[in-house]
Amino acid sequence: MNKILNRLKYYGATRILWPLSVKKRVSGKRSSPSGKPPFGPPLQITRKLREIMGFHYFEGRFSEGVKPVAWVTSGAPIEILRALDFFIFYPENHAAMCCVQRLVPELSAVVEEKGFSMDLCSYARCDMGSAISGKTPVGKVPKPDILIACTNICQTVLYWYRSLSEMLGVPLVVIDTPFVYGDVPQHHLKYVKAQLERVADIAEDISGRTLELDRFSHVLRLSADASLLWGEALAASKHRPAPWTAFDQFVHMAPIVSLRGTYECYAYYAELVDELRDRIYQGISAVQTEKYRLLWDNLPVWFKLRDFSTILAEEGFNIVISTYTNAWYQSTAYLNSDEADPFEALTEAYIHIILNMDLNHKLELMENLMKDYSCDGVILHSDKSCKPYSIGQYDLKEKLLEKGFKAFVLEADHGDPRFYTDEQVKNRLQAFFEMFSY
Amino acid sequence: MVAIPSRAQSIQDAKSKGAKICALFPVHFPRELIECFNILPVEVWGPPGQEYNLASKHVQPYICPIIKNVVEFYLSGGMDVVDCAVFPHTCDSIQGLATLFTDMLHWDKPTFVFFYPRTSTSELKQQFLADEIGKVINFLERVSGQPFEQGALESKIKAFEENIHLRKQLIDHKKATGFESVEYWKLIRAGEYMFVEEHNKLLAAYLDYLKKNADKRDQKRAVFITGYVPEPMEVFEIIEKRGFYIVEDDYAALGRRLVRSFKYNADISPIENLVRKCLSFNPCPMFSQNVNDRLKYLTELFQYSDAKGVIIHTVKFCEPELFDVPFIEKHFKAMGVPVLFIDTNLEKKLLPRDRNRLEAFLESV
Repeated sequence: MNKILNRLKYYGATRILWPLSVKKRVSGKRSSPSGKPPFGPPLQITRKLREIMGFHYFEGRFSEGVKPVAWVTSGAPIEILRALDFFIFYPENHAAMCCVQRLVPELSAVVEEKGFSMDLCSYARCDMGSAISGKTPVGKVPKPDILIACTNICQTVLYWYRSLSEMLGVPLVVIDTPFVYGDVPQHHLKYVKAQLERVADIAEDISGRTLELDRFSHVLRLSADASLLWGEALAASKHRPAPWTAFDQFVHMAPIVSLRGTYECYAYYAELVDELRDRIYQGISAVQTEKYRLLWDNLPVWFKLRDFSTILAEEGFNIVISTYTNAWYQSTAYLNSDEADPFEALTEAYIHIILNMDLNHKLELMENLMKDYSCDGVILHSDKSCKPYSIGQYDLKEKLLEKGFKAFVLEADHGDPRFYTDEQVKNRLQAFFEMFSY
Repeated sequence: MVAIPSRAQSIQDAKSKGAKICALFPVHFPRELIECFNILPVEVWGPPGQEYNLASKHVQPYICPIIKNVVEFYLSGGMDVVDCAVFPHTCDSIQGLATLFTDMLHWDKPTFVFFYPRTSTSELKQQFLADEIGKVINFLERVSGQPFEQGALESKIKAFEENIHLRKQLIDHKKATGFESVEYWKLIRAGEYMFVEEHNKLLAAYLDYLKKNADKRDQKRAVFITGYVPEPMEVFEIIEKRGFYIVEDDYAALGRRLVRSFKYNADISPIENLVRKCLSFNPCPMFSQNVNDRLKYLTELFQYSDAKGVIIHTVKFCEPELFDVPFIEKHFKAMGVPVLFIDTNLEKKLLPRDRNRLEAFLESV
């Protein structure tokens, strides 16, 4: 009986309530980037972004008992789950929203009170705080049937999800992807592939469905195509002046993280690419006076997106690309559903993630991005909350300086404003700007 | 008492006998594999209390102090004597350290990164470990110029079994007599830089000395300690001075590496034995998927110790340990056991704040 009621609620909410609420909001006011100096006109597609991400979280509220629910890390191979019709929730994406809304101190306090250290990743703290307190900017987060942590982004996810597993009483599956130093040994690939096959078995058991090859390949293709389109969208910034900024990219990457493998994600990026091409054609510049072009390394400072973009734009700087947004395009080449074995394609794609690769690779990638996007300099965000992304940045900076790029390390945190000092950052940025006047 | 050689003495001695030296980074790695090639594995934590004059140019302040310690030690020439290095893939910090060394800090000696599998599927774990150990063997053959010999590995595994046996005897003796001193911990830690046979001789001599001299039971109360590495060692001094002692410990660098459940099986190959030994590692936050396994293990050690309190002593910024702290605190507090948590920076001496907290905790216990 409960199952039928849940289904009725789910279909009623997603098929009737949501379309009605969207209709109402379309006629409402917009609050996206101002379009006032120092910025060019805002992206029109931002409204659609709100719609599809809004629907994603709205659907999540009613998914319990209707669809199997998985909480996964951002680097998890979700194509398997998608093909089995799971509702997929990304604690990191949810945490990023909490960071933007400056909820981290409040949510983190919930877990700090329980003994979790302030030195832990702010995503983990705020997400566990949300899980315990039920406070969330998305209304309600569905309880998971399974937690899947893939270590290709960091080892922290193992500890974080182990803690969630204990708190929520939900089973955890770890996909262990050995870090790549140079070439990947064959037995590492074999090991990862076997784990992916095991995830498929577990997911089949939970969903009560069979993973059909056609459906799986189709999802893989959608995922690959969306990643390619994301890559095309990023590449639009190779044009001078760039039609969008890395700050826009940080916002518009939400579907490629959270909705990979769906048609909606693919269609969204097809539309985004069209709009960016149109902006190039019309000569629209994201920053009205783009004098200098920069690369950003690491996660953004989510709670300072607007401030940062404004400070930079006022001085004629545009961050045109970042290693972080590029990560969701970087390993697309491996996602080839024409491969005889889709698990092999997934293995290659998910092991070759920037955060799972050595510093030589990162240096080479940064140099290539800087050349391809005609960057004059780089800001390396030394992110207290993301230690694996940050270690080595001091040396990367020196190497890039040696190669003639201007480089600057910004000490901050992607989510916790308690580790951020406005004045200090402004002063240091000012010193960085001065490097360009020589 | 027994004379404990210093790291430098041990290295010099090994070199004079034709052995090579391998820098072994924290924290879990089967030393017998390196030793069977007549290579001395010397664990590198970096001496405590260093100022980070060189390391601070390469490592951010919020990165684990072990990394800063090791980088400072290396850049000041402390590792010149080494012939090769093995980095166990312990955590994000050691992972980053390995790439920092090889890609940025001009470390050009032969290097191997050893992955300990995190998957919970035992068949996958076993196969992966066998493959990984095979790769380590190839690497060590190249470094030593010697072919791998099954017999040499077998005798090393057995020597390490003897090492565990001696350490267990020491623990039992401590429990029976209440005898413990900072010397004891220095002796155990000498195993980080000595060939196992030499270390066994020291342990046996010390046990012999204890049996002859410490037959009266000291009126001490036990505390149980868990954490990463016992630096500063002053922690032990304070515990001793305040009339306490530690029977069992769960420091990753000490007791956690005491693999009790392993027994050599003559029916299978030495490599298979080594794989089985690695599969028997005690629960560790670096790779465990389940908090409860660790809590169960800690409770067993705590109960065997007949301890009156629990001290959690982690290294600052150590994420794997820090994530488990609230669960350990909650678990023992629910049992009515007082718990103290301190995180330190590998200083030479405890900061006054930490010293006061430790002393106050011991008084309250």
